Amino acid sequence: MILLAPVALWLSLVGGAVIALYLLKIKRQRQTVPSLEFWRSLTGPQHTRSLMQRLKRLLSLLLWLLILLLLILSIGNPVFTFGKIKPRSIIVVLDNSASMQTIEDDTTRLERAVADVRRMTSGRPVRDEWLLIESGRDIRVTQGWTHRAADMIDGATTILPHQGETDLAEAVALADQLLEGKRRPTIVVVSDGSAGELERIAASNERVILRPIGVRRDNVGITQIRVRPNRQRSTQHVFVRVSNSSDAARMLDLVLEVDGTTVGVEPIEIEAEGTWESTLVMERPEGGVLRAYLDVDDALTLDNQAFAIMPPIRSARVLLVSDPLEAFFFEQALGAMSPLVDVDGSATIDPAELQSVDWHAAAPDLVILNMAAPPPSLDASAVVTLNGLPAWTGARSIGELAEPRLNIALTSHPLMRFLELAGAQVARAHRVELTRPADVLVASDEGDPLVFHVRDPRQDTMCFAFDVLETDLPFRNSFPIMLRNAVSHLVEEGAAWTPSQVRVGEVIMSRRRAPEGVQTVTAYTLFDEEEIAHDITTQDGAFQFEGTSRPGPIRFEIGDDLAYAAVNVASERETVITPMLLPEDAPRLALSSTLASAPPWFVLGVLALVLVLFEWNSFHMRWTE
Amino acid sequence: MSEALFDKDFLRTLEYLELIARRLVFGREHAQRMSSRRGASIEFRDFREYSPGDDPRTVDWSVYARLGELVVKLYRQEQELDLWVLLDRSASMSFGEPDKFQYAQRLAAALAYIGMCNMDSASVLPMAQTLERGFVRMRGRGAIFRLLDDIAAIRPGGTTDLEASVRGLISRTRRPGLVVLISDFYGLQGAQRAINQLRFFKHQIYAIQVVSPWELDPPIRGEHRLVDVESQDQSDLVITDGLLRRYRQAFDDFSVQLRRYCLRYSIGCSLAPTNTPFDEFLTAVLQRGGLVA
Repeated sequence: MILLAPVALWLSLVGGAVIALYLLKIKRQRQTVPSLEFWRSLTGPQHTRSLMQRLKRLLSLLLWLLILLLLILSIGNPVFTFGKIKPRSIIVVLDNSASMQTIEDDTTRLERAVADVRRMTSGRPVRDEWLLIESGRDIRVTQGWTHRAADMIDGATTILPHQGETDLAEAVALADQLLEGKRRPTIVVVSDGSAGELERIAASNERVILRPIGVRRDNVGITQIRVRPNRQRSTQHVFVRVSNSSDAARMLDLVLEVDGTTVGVEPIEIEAEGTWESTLVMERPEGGVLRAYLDVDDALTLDNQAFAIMPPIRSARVLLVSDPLEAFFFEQALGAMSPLVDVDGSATIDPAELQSVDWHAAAPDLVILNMAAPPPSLDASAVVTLNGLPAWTGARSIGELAEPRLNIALTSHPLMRFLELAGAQVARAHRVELTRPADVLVASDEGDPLVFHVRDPRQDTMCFAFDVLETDLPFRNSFPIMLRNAVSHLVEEGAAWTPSQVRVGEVIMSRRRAPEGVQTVTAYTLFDEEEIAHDITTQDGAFQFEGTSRPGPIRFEIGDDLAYAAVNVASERETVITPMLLPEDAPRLALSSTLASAPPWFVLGVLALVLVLFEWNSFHMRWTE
Repeated sequence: MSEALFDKDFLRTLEYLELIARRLVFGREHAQRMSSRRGASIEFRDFREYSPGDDPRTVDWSVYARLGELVVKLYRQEQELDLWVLLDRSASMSFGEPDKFQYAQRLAAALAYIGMCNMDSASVLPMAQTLERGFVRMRGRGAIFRLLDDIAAIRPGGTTDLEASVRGLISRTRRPGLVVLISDFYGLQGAQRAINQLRFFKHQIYAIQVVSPWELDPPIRGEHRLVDVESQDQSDLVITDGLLRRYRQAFDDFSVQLRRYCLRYSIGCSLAPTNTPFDEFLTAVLQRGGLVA
């Protein structure tokens, strides 16, 4: 047994007072009576300091001391083990994702989770070793190993709500590492279930004990919003997905605002546990900040709005670096892409001129390198390399492939849209070893990467591991389409200073280097209609911004230029707030045993009260003195 | 004379009581009481048939002349009436506020004075373990100061043996008299035996049970060590309301038993709470007529 409120032990001083009172009680007041026999005839035989009398007095004293003990224990809020509960090393993983902001009876799930940590740590009747991990924006240890429940409670109460996603699997993995060598390792995950992810984690890890939080499931949220400009038609295509996690169909309005002006209201109807998605075409070539919100009252308000940046639509400037003798084919292909490509603003230079390019003045949206030996670095955000493997991609040639066949490996990739390569073949190609993560778009029959896409926050690169001019006709027919995809996709992503959309908590990293002389970039966050400026110091022209703690648009001022990014919850996992249901046979963390199905403090309090009544009655019945 | 005990007011009260007593008892019931007063000493009472051995002088010859039957005339026999006041001076009598013993002393003095003025003699004898020497067979008002001094000189103490004291009285008296017992009568069995002895020797008896208000309703609660004022025995008790209720009932039963016992044998008995002025008490006793039957 342990006392959760050991301060109650101070009450034991009252025990001394009780004993003192009894000692005083022994010094009775003398009263002379004319006939003692008369009194004795009423009370039976009485002998001062007789054994029975002493026992009566002792019984009374013992009763009061017992009552006091019961009261102390009751106030001390005891917990009992009855020998069944063993001390453990317990790591509590506290889910602090956006779905934990769901309101349940005027409190958030996070607050309920903190209360559960309090209940759990306070309710363990043994000396456990505890550690608290917050699984929010980052996975971090909020409270190191401790034996004190109060430390855990303090640690839990310091956790601030995070309005984005989290990775509970990573948190559990960290907990697993920290439990190495510990006695009776246990991971307690306090969460609302993270859209079923937790059940999978618990099923694969026997250390994991789940403590579900929440009961509500009535939520509708925007789980995805994307804007893609159609440069061909100067329109913005807005893709919106709305998910309904409740068990009832919902009818509501999706309201669209651009730069604070409502530009459309879309009535939508979503079935229970269903999704609604649509691509809305908006004629906004000048771009703007798009805000979509749901006119609905539900459990989680965070996901009822989402933001997207609509970039201004303009033709792309392409810088082709190629031997003039080989440039014709590419120039023809690019010239056919007008107005997608700004033919007049594009240029072709010899590889020898590459060192003398003023990148800031030229500001190409895409650089195409048709050269066997690309430079070690390039100050461009979107690059297509032909027959060369730039060092920044982490790809290197480890040999040569003779007449490999081309097979599309990633049909769903934007760069592979509208393509059919069946039967295409090249004369020879580099045998490529990838040392960095890359999307292999086209591979040989043996799986060697032949076309791949290396994503980098600062530089998107599409690499062709062969000379395009040494390919057969089918490929030559397909190549302009691939090039068009590259212009369309890489320019959108690559020309921007920053990614146009990030999740809450995600770090925004610049994709391009700031112009020379720009030491500070200012980011203006517009969260909850409050604009706050943040100064960011650049390092070698690059900058990153971590203040994405809430959904909303962010404007960056980079020298004379502006860039926009949107921060969104936009997550299916967070919108589906349906709490997990713990099976009957699921492992549970044993807490304090109850006495007669009631909290021990209550039972002890009632027992003390009963004893007080018994003592009072026994005193009047003269069983005690 | 003890000024505190018997002051001038007390003497005036005695005079008043004596007048009351003369009017209520000795005046009204003159014919019913055996007395040695001159002029009323021989008084016809009844006839009965003659029995061998009867004094021939008592035969009513006129009846015999008319009816031919021998009958004898019965006369009320002249007899002196002595008053014996037995004053319990045991330690238990010194209890209470006002002091039971002082109250008893005043009662004894008043009764003795009335007896001295209206009866053949009056005696006040203190008793404790045995009957003690006291104020014996005094007559006339002139002895009043000696009476008061003697009574005031009595000090309470010791234990009571009413039976032994009564035996002492019986051994001293040659003829029946009026015996007034002033006591708290603790130890009822002994008291009953003592009364019986007096009854057997044809004494008229009047019992006055002196009690203090404390004894009627003890104002105590809680933890107490009770000490017997006579034996100094001790007992630790917790005085609760329930116990007090039982005490009051038991004390009431105790007094009722004494009165019932006395009533059974036509013995006068009164409860004398010390918070009742003794003259009021005695007036009431005299008015009831129980003192001199």
